[in-house]
Amino acid sequence: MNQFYLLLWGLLFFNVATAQSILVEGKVTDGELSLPGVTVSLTKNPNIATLTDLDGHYSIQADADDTLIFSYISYETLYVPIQGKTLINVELKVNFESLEELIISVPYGTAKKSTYTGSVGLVTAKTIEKAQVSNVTKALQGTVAGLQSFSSSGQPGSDATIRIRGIGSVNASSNPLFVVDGVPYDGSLSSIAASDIESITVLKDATSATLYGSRAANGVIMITTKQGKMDSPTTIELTTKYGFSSRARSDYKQLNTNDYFELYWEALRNNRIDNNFTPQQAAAYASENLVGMIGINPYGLNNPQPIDQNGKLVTGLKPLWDDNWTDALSQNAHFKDVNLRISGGGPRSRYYISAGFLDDQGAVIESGFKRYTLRSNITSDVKDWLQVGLNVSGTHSIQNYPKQDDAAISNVIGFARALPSFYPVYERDLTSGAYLIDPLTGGRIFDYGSYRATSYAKYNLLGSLPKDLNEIKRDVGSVRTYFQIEPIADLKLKTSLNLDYDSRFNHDYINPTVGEGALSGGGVSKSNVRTIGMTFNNVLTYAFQFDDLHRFNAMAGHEYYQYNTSQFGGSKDKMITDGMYEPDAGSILKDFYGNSDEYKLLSFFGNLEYSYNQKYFASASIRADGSSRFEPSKKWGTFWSFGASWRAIEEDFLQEAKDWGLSNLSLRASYGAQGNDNIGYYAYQALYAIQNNLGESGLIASRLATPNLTWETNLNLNIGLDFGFLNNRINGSVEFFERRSKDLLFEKALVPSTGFSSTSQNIGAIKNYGWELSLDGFLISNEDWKWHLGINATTYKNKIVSLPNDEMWSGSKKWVKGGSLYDFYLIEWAGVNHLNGNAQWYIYDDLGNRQITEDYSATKDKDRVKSGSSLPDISGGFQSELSYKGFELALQFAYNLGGKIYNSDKLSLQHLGKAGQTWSEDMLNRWTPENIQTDVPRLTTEPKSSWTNQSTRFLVDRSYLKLKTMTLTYNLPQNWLKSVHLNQASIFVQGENLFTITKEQGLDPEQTFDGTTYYRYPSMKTISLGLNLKL
Amino acid sequence: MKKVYILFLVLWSSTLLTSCDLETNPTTSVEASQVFATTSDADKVLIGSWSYLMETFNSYANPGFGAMLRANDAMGSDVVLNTRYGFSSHYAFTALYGKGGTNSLSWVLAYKTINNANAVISNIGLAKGTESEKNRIAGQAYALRGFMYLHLASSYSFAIDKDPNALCAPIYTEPSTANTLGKPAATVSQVYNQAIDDLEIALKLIPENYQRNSKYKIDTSVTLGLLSRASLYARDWQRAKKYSDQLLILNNYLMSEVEYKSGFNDVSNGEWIWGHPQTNNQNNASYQFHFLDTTSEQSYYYSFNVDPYFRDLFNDGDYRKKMIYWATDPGKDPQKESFVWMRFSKFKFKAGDIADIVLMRTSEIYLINAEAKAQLQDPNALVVLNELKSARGAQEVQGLSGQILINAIWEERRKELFGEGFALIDIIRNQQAVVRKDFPQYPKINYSYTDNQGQLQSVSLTPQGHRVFVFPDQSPFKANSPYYLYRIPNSEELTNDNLYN
Repeated sequence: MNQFYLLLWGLLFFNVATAQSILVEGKVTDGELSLPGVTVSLTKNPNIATLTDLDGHYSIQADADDTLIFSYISYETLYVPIQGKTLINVELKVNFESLEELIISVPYGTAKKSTYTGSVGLVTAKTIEKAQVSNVTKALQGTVAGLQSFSSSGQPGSDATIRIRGIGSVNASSNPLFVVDGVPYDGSLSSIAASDIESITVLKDATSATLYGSRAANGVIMITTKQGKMDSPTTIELTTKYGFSSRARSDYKQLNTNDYFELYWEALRNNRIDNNFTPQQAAAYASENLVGMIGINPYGLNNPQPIDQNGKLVTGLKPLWDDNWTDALSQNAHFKDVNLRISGGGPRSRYYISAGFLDDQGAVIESGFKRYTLRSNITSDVKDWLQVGLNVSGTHSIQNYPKQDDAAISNVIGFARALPSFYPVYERDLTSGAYLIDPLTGGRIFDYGSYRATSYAKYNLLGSLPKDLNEIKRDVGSVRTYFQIEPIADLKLKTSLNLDYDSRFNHDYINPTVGEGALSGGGVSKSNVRTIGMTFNNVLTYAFQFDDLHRFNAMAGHEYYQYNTSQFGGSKDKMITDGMYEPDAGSILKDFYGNSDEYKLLSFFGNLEYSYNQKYFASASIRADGSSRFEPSKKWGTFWSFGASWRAIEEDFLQEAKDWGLSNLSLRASYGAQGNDNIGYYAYQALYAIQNNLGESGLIASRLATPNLTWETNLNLNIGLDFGFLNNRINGSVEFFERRSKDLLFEKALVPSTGFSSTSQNIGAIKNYGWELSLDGFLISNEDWKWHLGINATTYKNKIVSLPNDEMWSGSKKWVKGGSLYDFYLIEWAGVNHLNGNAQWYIYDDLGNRQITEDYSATKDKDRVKSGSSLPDISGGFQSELSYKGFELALQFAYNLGGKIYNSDKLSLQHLGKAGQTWSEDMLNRWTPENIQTDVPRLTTEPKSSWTNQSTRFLVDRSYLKLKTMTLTYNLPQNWLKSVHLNQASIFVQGENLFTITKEQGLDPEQTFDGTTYYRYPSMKTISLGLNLKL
Repeated sequence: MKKVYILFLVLWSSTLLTSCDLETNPTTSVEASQVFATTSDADKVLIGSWSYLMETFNSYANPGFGAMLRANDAMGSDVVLNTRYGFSSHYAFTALYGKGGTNSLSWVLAYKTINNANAVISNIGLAKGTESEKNRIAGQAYALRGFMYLHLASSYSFAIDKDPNALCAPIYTEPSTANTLGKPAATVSQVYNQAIDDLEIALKLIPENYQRNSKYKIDTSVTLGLLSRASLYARDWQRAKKYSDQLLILNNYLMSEVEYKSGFNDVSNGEWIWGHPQTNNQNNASYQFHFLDTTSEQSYYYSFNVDPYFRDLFNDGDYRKKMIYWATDPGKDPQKESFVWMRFSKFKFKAGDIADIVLMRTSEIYLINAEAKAQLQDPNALVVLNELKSARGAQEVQGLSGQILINAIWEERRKELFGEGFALIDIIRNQQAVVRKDFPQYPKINYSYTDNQGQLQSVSLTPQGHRVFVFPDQSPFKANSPYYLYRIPNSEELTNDNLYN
């Protein structure tokens, strides 16, 4: 390794030297660190220039009376007269104003953020590289106002759900469009290495998005990967991280064995009383049958009735074992991340090449994500009039994905939660509690628990999962290639062809020896989903100006997009032996299937931008899309937008304000329409689905014809104000937006007895409107200390403008005109009846009088009342970066205020008496004749109405504050680095999800948008140590 | 010049790449216009509807239409459910009354099947094919629709003679479009009439010589059997007698003891008139055996145990009685067990965890025939009953008549058709109450078994009998209780404005 980097080191040393009168040398720093790549030029002799090397050194031949110009992006340009000196060391100051002169990616080009008419959010590499996540979508939470990210799964490699300015669609997709290097991206987002990302631009309004037309109805997230710089020395950068992961939040607290047995006794006894037995008979029955109902006696076979007829644990008894399944199914997870990046450029070309390896193990056994990434971005000006570019990336990933997101017994998260402490992990001697030892191996024996009273009998994932396979292998290739010709000055034609290839292999295997496959002989299923997205476009741009005051940019283009997805797979049962994972080892063919879908989109678009005197800016865009999804005469939709901005700070009347600190003031507004067609691939035909039976072809009516179905339209209004003070040391923006969707692609409910549950229609309208605020500032900035603080907040409301029916139901939500898509309408919990301990709910009679019922099935939908919204009132994040000399501490928080979650996750722990099913701690507070003031009903094995039926009882607050990332970095001093020939080195400690503050114990408040929990893999806390080297 | 070449190249490739049309077609569905072109195409809709009806599940507890059959037994007098997954809430009468999964699946399955049958009936006329094929397919569609209306009539209302005008469920006879309005609920008499009318049309249309290639397909025998059943439930004794007589002429085979003990899992059984076969790659319906099969180790829940008193209903010589015995859960070490259950080894998985689902047997037709004749005071009733009894090795009964004979036939239905989905329907149609009696846990049962080493062992275990003796509101079991009935789901009440008009 040493030799390697010395070799590279050697290659790096090249200096530009030209013969002139004197040689001026020196070093450029920012007051502390050396600055490489600073342009050093001369006022009198503009043809001569050089760059500082990696140490910040420069040397330049200059006339003794010339003046040196030091310029560097984001720093104030410095003029230093030479005055005959040969050694000139300088210190450049950060220019806060120029930080704002950011160039952002916009559709089919780039723009200056300061004058752009649209609403954009920007996340830079600095923020992204601090997140220790295997999926870049998870790094976005709390970074941009108006963007909400919900990581509903902590499984390494899984995507977060992202919504920009709420949900504009009901049944069509609400996912934003992801664009990588200017072209819509169809690969997997987990295949992009965070360290390859230069910036992420979030386009929130119509100005920006209309050019992507129908595909951008839900906003655009533009990922720009790193590029080399023209005329810059080669930079080699190596980053490594190593750390440990564990659950970020512990699970719901469960009853201990003693309490469980006493409570279950009570449930059995109560049920017996309900069946008209005397209390004595009931108590005797409960004591007699308790152990048999649960299936095992943790107090030993010598104590067949551990709970006496008074319902108390026999004195002196202690459980012989007390096993924690959550701990048993957790692993010591490691996090490893290594990246090597090489970039640079010559006079005509630039390059960026990187390779990376990530190993992100999950907190739960047999889960994890490994990824290998390669990227090569090359741009070259082959002729004065011809530029070509090629960005290629390839990713191979292996995700170990045990079942985790449904009600299946083998769901590894559900399993840990569902097994109470009295079911042992390893087989025990049932009298003494001692572990049984396998005479062959001398080790403990996994207890598969055929005696367990619940459906979890015959399973032990700790024993079987390591022998099973749940693997998702993914190969993603992405190519972006273009050439751009400039036949005459300022007229450019860019043609680009882009391919995204994503192939996913799922391989699941159940071993034939232990666990669920032991009796059935195990099984294997293997499947492949292959998708290819191809985008081909030609874009013509022309820039021209009059009098230096009027500037125009015109653009026109067309695009053809084709997306193909194809899958096939099969499964076999009865495997030959353990460890033979492939279908060839199975003996019974169970299934073979395959299908494919195709989507085509043809588009034409144009855009005109105008600016006057760098003060007034205007833009207009139009795009027409033809989609294969709709009936031939309804295929085409036309979308448009207008935008304008005014840099008020340039006006004469504000010059005075400049004196007292105002450094930026500009106003922006835009309005436009985008379309959405994302409602299944074949949204017009009446269809019969293939439903074969016993080797014969079969069909069943599946879809009603919808010949009039067409585009859904999103109308977006955005008004924004940007401001800055003290040279933009403090800056920010306030924006108001309104997203109005009309002709919503709606699934209109039909009468179920007609044989169809719903049909697609363009009906109804909704709007999302609200405010976004972001503030950013350097609170402290002096030689030693720097403190940068950023905060963003979003608040918005969702409103239903019109509906096809008076009211519509969507699960726990009711939609009414004037209401919101996110209003929970639930049966109102009326507490526990003090007299008998039964659960009660409110119902309404025909006159509207509220009454109480103990019979949940007496409740009707009309009895459900508005009970809060799943939308948070305010959400956002804040960042703090504090640095002192070589140290830097960066914190990234995300927060949510208000909003509700329906916590159905916990319901399975709150039953009233299901034998052997775990109970949460709050069941201790159940109703008893002595404890009548409670909201937990009386226990009984056969309750009249399940109290866990949907009601306001289980609605909880979704407010939280989460420390998403914390990074402490130490930049090693230059003089140390010199001795090891390194240019820059830093070590850092990073923490992910270090803490969460929220009300509900055990619940991870980061849940889906609609506020309903459903079997989620817990989010992970990762702490790692890292090293970053620059050669 | 090069610039010109490149420009030309761009233009040329653009037209090449984008000249394709914007048409795409699905690969898992067929356009409706192509579905009824020929009779064999129309036949596919029947085949698909059947598959949908039998294999669609909304949870593992509701594996297809068979879940309705299983619910019927779980809610009767003779099955003792354990506390495991599946039907224990049916056993406690909270599942249907609480509008749970079985209740919602029933509605969807019935009406989706009816709509597809309607599509076949109204489109078959224009399909290309022979007249006899058209008749056969239309006849099967009518029969399938009649079968669904029979399910609705017998499960969504009390007995037809309690209130013939009680509201039951809507009737549709045309395929639905997006503009179809919800129909009002028809009376129980109307729904029974619809079922019988449909089945009688089917009987005329399906050629008598039709040879089905699988036992799930409806032929003349199945139609006659369904007509016998529907007429019995509708208390039309004459028709029930007529059709069951006709069917018994076609097939009066009663299976042997060996066949009876082979697990009720194979359609090849000569006594099965109608059944739904299962294969390795089509086995959703087989999941029902995880509830029904209480004596095989691969069964997950072994929940359909029997009331210990149920065994006393059988004579000692009855070979069915030998199949009922005390047993611990299969595959467990009895030394570690506390409980022993009364188990009926009637239903057993085949190898590969599959099992065909029985839908109609000749013994049911014997019992329908006997019951119809008993109601008509036809002395042959007793003869028919005894034919079945003697086939099972049971003592023949003599000198019974009137209600006593009818009661004996009803009891024989419980014994012979145990677990096949008739218990609750019989309770409803005969306006009876569920009867469950506590079984004392003392003395304990001395359970003998052979251990791994081949040694005979014995252990004293707590017997488990009925556990639920009252309705959820703690009222005693009674006849005509709303707890017995399926309920129209909320989604129908919400969207169908005409439902109660």
